[in-house]
Amino acid sequence: MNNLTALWLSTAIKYPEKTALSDGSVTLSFRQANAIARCWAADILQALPAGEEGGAPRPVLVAAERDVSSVLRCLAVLMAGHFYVPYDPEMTSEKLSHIVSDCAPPLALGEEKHREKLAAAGYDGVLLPLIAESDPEGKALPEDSSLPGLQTSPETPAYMIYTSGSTGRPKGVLKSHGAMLYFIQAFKERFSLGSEEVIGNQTPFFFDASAKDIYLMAAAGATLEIIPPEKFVMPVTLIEYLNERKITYVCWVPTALALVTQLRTFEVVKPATLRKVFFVGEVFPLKQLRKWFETLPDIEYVNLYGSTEVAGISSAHVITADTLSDDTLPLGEALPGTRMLLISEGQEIREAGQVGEIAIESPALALEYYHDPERTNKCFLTCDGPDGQPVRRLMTGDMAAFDEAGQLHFLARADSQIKHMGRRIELGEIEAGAEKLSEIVRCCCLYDNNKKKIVLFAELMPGVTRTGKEIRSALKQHLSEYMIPSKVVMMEHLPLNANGKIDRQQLKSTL
Amino acid sequence: MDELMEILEEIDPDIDYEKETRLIDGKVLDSFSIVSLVSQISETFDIEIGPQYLIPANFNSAAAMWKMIQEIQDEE
Repeated sequence: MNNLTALWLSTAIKYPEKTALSDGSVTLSFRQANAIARCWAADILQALPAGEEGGAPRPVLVAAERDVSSVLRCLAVLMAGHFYVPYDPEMTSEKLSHIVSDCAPPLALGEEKHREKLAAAGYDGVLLPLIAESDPEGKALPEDSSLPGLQTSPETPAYMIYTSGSTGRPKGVLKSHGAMLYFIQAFKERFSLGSEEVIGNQTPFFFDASAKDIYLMAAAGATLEIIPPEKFVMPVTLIEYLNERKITYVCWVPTALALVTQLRTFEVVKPATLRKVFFVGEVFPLKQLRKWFETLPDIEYVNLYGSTEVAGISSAHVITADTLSDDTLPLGEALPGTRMLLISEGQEIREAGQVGEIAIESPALALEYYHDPERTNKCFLTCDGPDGQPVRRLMTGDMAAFDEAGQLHFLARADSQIKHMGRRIELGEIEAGAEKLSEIVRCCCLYDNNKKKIVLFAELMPGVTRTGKEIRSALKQHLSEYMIPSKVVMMEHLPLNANGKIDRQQLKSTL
Repeated sequence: MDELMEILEEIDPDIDYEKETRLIDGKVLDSFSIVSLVSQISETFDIEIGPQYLIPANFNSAAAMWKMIQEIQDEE
């Protein structure tokens, strides 16, 4: 199998009457979902020819709402032989304008309601409104062989995820069909995930982690239940919904799982059908994980480790009572075909307790940072592999160490990237956003690891007074909601170190 | 009620808590706000908010939250 279109089509043919997708209001079988996506692929091709006549695959912007249509838009783009770039329809138009100018998409897929934001972001291409209905019968389907997506080679880009950039500009991480194909097959086999799974999706489709859910559905013939976001607000409602939709598998950020036990949900309702709880994106607070484990010991709990620069994840650790008694969870074993190693000053280290940077060698590595060879060459190296052949290696920026048992444990970031509620944020992006406010002279953003809060220290223009509230409100025009600091500390002068730079260490000690 | 308003303002200053009646149903507050909201209300009013109280109806407006707080206080 060479591409994700072939993967999807073979599954759709195998399980025509199984539910592929549901978002609480629209539910589609694989046959229905396939029919809609193929019609849309024809619409896309009309607007943007691909294949031999049309030339190289082009980026297609996809408004990523939490609905069935958004997933189908992505699949339709692949069938048409292009690659999709999902975006958060609620992101600021300023941030969207960076994406638009960075990849210059000739086509956008969404709904009429997305037109205004796209225009404000400087997008002047075509917007195709594509909305799935429950009953797509009666449409003539294009022949399989006419789908350019079926001719796509494994090295071709499939999708691009924009992630936080330290200068305030999001950076695009481009991933190939082959990377995702490799990952999803390895993942599916390692955990025996099959068509009986009902996946409860939590991650929005503009975040990288959601691709695991989409392609697990496409590879295994599993059902993808897109959980309406309001269900996550009240954990009792959330667990009731999992039971109602008979969800068996979740792969969530630990924050969403910890919320359930923090609010003592299991005293009222327990998951009835859930059998697999995977988590990724940040460290799970062990106290909460123990509560899950003690209340529901028959569930398989798995700690996943990955990076946006890799399709899917790189390693997995199955939780046991033993690992729960430790202070931190191991990152686990690398997937078959993936190698994880620790590098310090260019050398591989194996001794316990020595700190190094995690490097990943895997067929799942991303192709590049979009049109940014300098950054790409810095993070993606070519090295000699175990068999002497050259192999691509990603330097993750994650610092880790082996324990006595040879297990890898995450320690810290080498830079100022943080994970907040499972989302990857560069503190520099928040600082860049804050510095756009005319009342702020300089600022420094830190993450309070104990309280899990983003804190901004700000030095205001002389004579200006602002409350933290006012600053936070003003920041909303420059930053996504999840990046807004929960606390703003006004300072007359930010402390400087001997080099004349803002003294982050001193500020950190005040947290 | 003033104390409750202070807590709410701290969580998100942009919301008009006097008027808003669909804080949960309208996705105005997110799940992560709820955790800090519940813990701060519990602390400030010295009450225990059991999971049975965690339903949208009790958190859709400041008035509903206030009513819930008083109910729990009466029970305790």
